[in-house]
Amino acid sequence: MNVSADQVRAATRGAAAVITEDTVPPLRLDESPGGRRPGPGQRTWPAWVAPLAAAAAIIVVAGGGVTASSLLAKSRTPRPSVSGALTRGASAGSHTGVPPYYVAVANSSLTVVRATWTGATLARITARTPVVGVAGAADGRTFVLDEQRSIMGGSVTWVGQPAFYLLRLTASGTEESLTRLAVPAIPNGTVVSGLALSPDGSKLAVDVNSDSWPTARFMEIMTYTLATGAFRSWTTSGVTNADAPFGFTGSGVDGAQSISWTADSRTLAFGVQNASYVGVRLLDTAAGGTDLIADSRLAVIERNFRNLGRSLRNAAPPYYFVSCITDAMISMDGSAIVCGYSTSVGNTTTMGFAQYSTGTGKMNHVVGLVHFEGKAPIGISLYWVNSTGKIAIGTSETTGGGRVGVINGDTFTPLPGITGFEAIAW
Amino acid sequence: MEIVTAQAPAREVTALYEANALSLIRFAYVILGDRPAAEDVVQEAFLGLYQRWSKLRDTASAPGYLRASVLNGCRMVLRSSARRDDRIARIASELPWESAEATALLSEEYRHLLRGIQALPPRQREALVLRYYLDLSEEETARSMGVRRGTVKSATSRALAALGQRMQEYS
Repeated sequence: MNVSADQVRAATRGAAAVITEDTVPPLRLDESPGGRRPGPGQRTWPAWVAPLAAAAAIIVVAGGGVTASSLLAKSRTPRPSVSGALTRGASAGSHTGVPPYYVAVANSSLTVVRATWTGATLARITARTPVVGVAGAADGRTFVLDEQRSIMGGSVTWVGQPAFYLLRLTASGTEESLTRLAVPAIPNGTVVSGLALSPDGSKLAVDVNSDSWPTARFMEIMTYTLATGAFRSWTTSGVTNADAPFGFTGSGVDGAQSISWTADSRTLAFGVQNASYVGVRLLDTAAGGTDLIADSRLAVIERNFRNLGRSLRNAAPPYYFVSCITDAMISMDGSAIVCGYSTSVGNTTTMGFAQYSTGTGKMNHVVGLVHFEGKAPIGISLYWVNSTGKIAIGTSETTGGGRVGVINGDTFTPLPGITGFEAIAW
Repeated sequence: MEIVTAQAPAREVTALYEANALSLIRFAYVILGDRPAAEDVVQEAFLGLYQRWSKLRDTASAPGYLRASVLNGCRMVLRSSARRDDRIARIASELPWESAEATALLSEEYRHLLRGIQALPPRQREALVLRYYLDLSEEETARSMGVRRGTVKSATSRALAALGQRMQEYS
């Protein structure tokens, strides 16, 4: 007996018709899916969702227990501010170590250099091939730009080979030189989902993924020594890259699967998601090996699919998000990993950046807390952290929009002149 | 100058949900055969989009992202469930097409066919649902699954053959 496509079509559509418009549940953006009531005797929880009953008040962070409320208390939480208002505090002068310039990809053909504290445009770089990513060294004057064409559609298709350019700025922030890097060619159509220039500007790390998500099966991190052209590669399979194929902002520190270096240009932190967990791993690029997983160490677990109690997400109350997969950076001294953080209690949302110890995987504290009325825990982005991970540059968004600023302790100092951008780096 | 990042993403994502939730829940339901799980997968997909909204380069890519996200969520549910209790085999032999609504809407023949679809290996099932339930082309199906077009052809061909065998035994 043959089964035709029409029979399959009719059967599946008939089955789907059981679900009608009036029975679709409302969207719940303000709480975990695990917080929904299970149907009588029929709830099947997805692997990453913790049933509410299992969520204790104690939030277990990578093996160590801390309560969210104690975290907030330790960080000397200011009183919630008025709706949408950002906490202002330290003056620009107190943020020692913040780089003086940043590079922002304004649109596909224009990249600009601006002064961090004034927003003044110091250089304009036009390109025929769209710049999609940027990464900076610690001197604040050395950057790498990533160029690649893409086609927008239902998803984003990357075409051609990515090309990398070294941008050097003068002491006053104007363009000194822009040179194409002589690195080995990366295959056509490769998705560059992470880009990081080592703090001393000597090495470039590139994170690429083959296949398209959600079936991505291959991930590779390559490092290039700029002076010699020396090249190393680490690969793994069975990982997924949740963002890159769909055109989420470029690469570099704001890219999908952020990668970042320690000051010694040796350890590389990278986000990874596989069937078991979402987390941040540390790769010693000076050691031997070519296996991205076997030769690296898992430092922070954001979500543990096999042991939900060890996940950072979906614990309640209060419910909070940690977004290490898209926004994680290692401090230059290698002691901490900083990830986006948000929590919602009642009608007040608190957003900031959680710092984890690379030694224990436990959360040390939360910095840059911003409070506002309403529930919209979204859009945390991290662009730069200092040597200890205690001062950062990032975006804290509210229901009314977002601001890029310097985060120091509990203060958030907005930076002027940062308009819409596709990628940005300090 | 104004800061331009996300603008009222909750409103945008809610509008997308209103426009797409029904079709996505149905899509997940056809793959999983489990409505609560299908709803959770879709909820998680929208939550993921909401969290990443500020990084979305082109909002036109959101529906594609959501479909792929739902497909990936379904895979994870099946993988996780299969590890726990061989749920795929269980689904194939009993629920989910026996509810009052399904019985009213579907003939016994179709319900048997659906049980057969649930019993297919995941790749064959995905190919079949994408090709014939969503009416995607072979190329679009290949792109969604992250496989070559030839793989889609062979997966759908084998799936139809397996279903034919099953229906023969049934009759």
